[in-house]
Amino acid sequence: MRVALAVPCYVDQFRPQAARATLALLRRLGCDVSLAFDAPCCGQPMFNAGVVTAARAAADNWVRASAPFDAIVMPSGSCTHHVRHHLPGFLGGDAAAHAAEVTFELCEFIAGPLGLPTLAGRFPHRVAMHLGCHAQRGLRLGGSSELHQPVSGLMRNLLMGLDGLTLVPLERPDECCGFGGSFAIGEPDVSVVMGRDKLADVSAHGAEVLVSSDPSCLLHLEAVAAHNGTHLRTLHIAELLEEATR
Amino acid sequence: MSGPGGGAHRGHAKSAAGFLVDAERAAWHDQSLWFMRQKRDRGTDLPEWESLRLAGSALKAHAMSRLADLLEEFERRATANGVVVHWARDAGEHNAIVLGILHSAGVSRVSKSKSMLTEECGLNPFLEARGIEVVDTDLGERIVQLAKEPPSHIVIPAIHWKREEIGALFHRTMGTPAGETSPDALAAAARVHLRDALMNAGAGITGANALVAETGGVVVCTNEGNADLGMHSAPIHIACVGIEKIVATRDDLGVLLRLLARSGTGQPVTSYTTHVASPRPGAAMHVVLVDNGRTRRLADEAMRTALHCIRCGACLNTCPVYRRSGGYSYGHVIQGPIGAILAPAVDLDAHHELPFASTLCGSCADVCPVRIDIPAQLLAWRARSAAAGTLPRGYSTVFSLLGRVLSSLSRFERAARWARRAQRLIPASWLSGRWNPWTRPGRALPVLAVESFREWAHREETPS
Amino acid sequence: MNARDSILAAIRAAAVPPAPAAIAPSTPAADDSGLHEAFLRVLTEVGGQGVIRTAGQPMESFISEPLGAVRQDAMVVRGRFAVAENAAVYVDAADLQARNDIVRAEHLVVIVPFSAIVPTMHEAMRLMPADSRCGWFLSGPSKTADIEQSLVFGAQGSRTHCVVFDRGT
Repeated sequence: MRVALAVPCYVDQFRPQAARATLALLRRLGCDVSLAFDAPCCGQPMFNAGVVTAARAAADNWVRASAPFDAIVMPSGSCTHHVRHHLPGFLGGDAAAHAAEVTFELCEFIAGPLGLPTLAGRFPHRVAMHLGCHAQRGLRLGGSSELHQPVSGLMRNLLMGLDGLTLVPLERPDECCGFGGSFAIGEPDVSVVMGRDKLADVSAHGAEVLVSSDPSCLLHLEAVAAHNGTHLRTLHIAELLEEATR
Repeated sequence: MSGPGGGAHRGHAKSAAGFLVDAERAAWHDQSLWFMRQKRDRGTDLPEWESLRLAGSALKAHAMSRLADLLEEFERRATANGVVVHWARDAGEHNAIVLGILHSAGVSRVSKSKSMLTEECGLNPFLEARGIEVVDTDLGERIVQLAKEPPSHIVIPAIHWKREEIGALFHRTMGTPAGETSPDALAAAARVHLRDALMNAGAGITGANALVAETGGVVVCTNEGNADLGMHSAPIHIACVGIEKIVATRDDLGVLLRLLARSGTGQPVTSYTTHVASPRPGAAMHVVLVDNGRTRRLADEAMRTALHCIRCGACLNTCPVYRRSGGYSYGHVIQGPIGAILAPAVDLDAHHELPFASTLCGSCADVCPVRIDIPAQLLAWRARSAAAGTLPRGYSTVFSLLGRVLSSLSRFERAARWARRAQRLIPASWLSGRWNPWTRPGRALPVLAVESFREWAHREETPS
Repeated sequence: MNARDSILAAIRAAAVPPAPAAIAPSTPAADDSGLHEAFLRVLTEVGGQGVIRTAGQPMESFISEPLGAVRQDAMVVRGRFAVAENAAVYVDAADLQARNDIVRAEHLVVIVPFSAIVPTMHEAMRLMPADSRCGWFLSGPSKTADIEQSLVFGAQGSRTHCVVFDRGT
C-alpha cells in the first residue's frame, strides 16, 4: 500500500508540528510514508466561501497529486471532509473519485486501514476532546448528541486506550468552537464568543489538555486562549498520540 | 431594508456585534435557547426517532412531488364540507383576500393565533392601516405586538424578553401592578386581557401546521388553546396557509404530529391539536392557500427541500450562531438556519450575508425532524452569491487571490516566505489593530512557524 | 389566468420527480398491558391528572377526587380513545355542544373507555373518524412557557385536565 502524508496548507505554515507528529506516529506504527504528495491545498477555503471557481485549480492539483497513492493521510477532519464529500461532485471523473476514496483523516486511517482501534501508550492527564464539526458531523468520527449518541467513536477510543488518560465530560461536548473558516473573519464577534464559551466549558471541567482532530479549530481556540491568558495545553490528536506512544 | 423597530438592518455580522455588547444578556439568551435544545434531546429520545425522521422527510418529498394533485384534492373535500378555499399568488393577494372576507362581514376586530405566514405577508400592518384591529392571542406574539416589535423566534416569539420587562410592559398596557414579575400572575393577566377579543372578535384568523389532502382538514397545534378559542368562537374562521404545508394522508399527519412538538419544545405533543374540516353550523370557514415564492422554490431543485420545513424551531434552538446573535440579527421574518436559506430567495441582495452567518457545523441538519440538508443549501447560496456578485465585501478578491496562490506548491511556498518576512518586520501592534477582524474581538495573532513542515522535511528527510 | 390556475400551472411546470409515499416506522409491539401506565406517567408530566374508574364507583366522586374539592364547574366530555405515547385523548366535536367548550372550561374532565387506548399517533390516526368535521387531540391542560421558559397552566384554555379511564358500565 503506497501511503502518502498530505499536509493541509495552514498546517504546513502555522502548525507544522502536527504534520511532524503524524509522520513520526505513522512510522512508529510500521507505515512507510511517502512525502511526495505535492499539492498545498484541497481548495476547501475558497469552496466554502462560495468562490467555487477559485477552488477549482487547487482541487484539480490536489486530485492530480493523489493519483499514485493507495492511501492519503491527513491530520485534518475538515480537509478530509472536503475531499471526500465535495470533490467528486465538484470535479467529476474517476480521478476525483479515487482521491475521495483513498483520503483518510488520521484517526480513520489508524483504526481502519491500519486496523488499530487503540494504541498502547501513556498519557496521564485530564483531557478534553473537541472533534471539530467536520470530523463530528461530516465524517461521523464520533457520536453526536443530536442523534442521541454518547461521546464515542474512533478518536475517543484511541484516547481512552492510553494509560492514565481521563477524558473529562463537557457540558456541550459537540458544540462548534466558532472557527468556521471565513466565519472567523466575517462574523468575528460571534466567532470569538463561541471560542470563549468552548474554552470555559473545557476549564470548568478541569481539563489540562484540549485535543482536537482539526488544526483549524485549535488555531482559533489557541488565539482566544492566548488573548485571555488561559493556561491550557492544546494538542492535535497526532501530537498527543505521538507523545503518548514514545 | 428596514429591521426590527423600523431602523435600517445592518446585516447579520454588525447586528450580532451589537447583540453581543451586553455579554451577560447574550449569555442568558444563549442559555435559554440551549435549554430548548436540551428539552428537544430528551423529548426525541425514542428508539424509532431516526426512522421517524426518515418517514418525515419521505412524506414531505412525496407531498411536494404531488403538490398540485394534493391541493386540488384538499380543495375538493374542503369545499364539499362547506369551507371556502381561496388562492393567493403573493402576499398582496393574500392580504386583499383576507381584507375582502372581513369587509364583506363588517369585521372591525380580529383575533389571530400564531401564523408565520401572516407575518411573512405583513398582514397585521396591512389590516391596521385599513382600520381593522388585530389582536395577536399567542402570549409571546401578544408581548411583541404590544411592544411593537416583530417576533425574534418562529416558535417562541418573545424568547428575548425578561420577566421584569414583560412585567413593565403589562403594567403599561394591561394595568398589572408595578413590579409584578411572576409568570403566573402575568399570564393570568394576559388571559383576562385577551379573553374579550378571543370570544367576541368578528373573525378568528389562524395559521395551519398542516393541511391534510385525504380529509380536507386544517391542523392547528397550540399549547395555549388560543387558536381554538378564537376560531370556534368567532363567526368567521380564516386559516392562512402556505401551499407547502399540505400532506397527503392522515398517516402522514400522524408522523408529523410525532415529530413536531418533540423537536420544537421537547413535549410529546402540544396541549391542543385541532383537526378542523368544516365550519360549525351557522359560521363560516375560509382557507387561503398562499404561494408567495413557494412555486419558484419548488422549481429550484437544489433548494426544493427547504419547502419541507414544518416550522418547528429546532434548528434555531441548536444553532450556536442564532443563540448568540438573536433573531433580529437575521433581518427576516424567519430566522436562524432555515431563515438563512429561505431569505436569500426572497432578496439575494438584501440577505446575501445570511448564508455566511454560519460555521456549517451541521447541528441544524441533525436536529431537523424532516432532514433538510441546511448546510448544503447554505453552501449553494454562497456559490450563487459569488456568481451574482453579492458576496460580502472583499470575499471575491481575497479568495480569488488565495485560489491562485494555493493551487501551486511553488506559488504557495513563495507567498508563505513573504508572509513570514512580513510578520517578522511589521510590529504586532500594527497587525492587531481594530481594523483586523481576527484580533479585534479578542484573539491573539497566529504566528507563522519559523520553518514550515515541507522545509523541515526537505532538511531532514529524503522524499521517497 | 386566475390565481388558482396560475399556481397549479407553476407547480406542474416545476416537474418535481415522483417520490414514494412514506412508510411509518414500526413501533414496539403493542403490549397492551403497559399502555395505561405509560399514558398516566406522561399525563402527569404534562400537568394532567388521570384515574381509572372500575364498575360500581360513582362518577361524581371520580370527578371531585382527582381535581380536589367538589368541581361543580368541571366540564365533562366524552373522549373516543387515548394515546399512550403523549397522553393525548381524542375528542370529536360531534360529542360536544359547542366547539369551544373544551377551551372555555376552566376544568376539563375527559372520560375514555378503558380499552380504547393505542400506543402511538400512528394507530391513533386509524381510529380518528374518517369523516370527522372537527376533532382534537388534547394532552394535559392549557399551558404556556412564553415568559422566560417558566411553565404556567391555564394560559387560555383549561387550568386542570383530568382523564378518567372508564372500566365500568
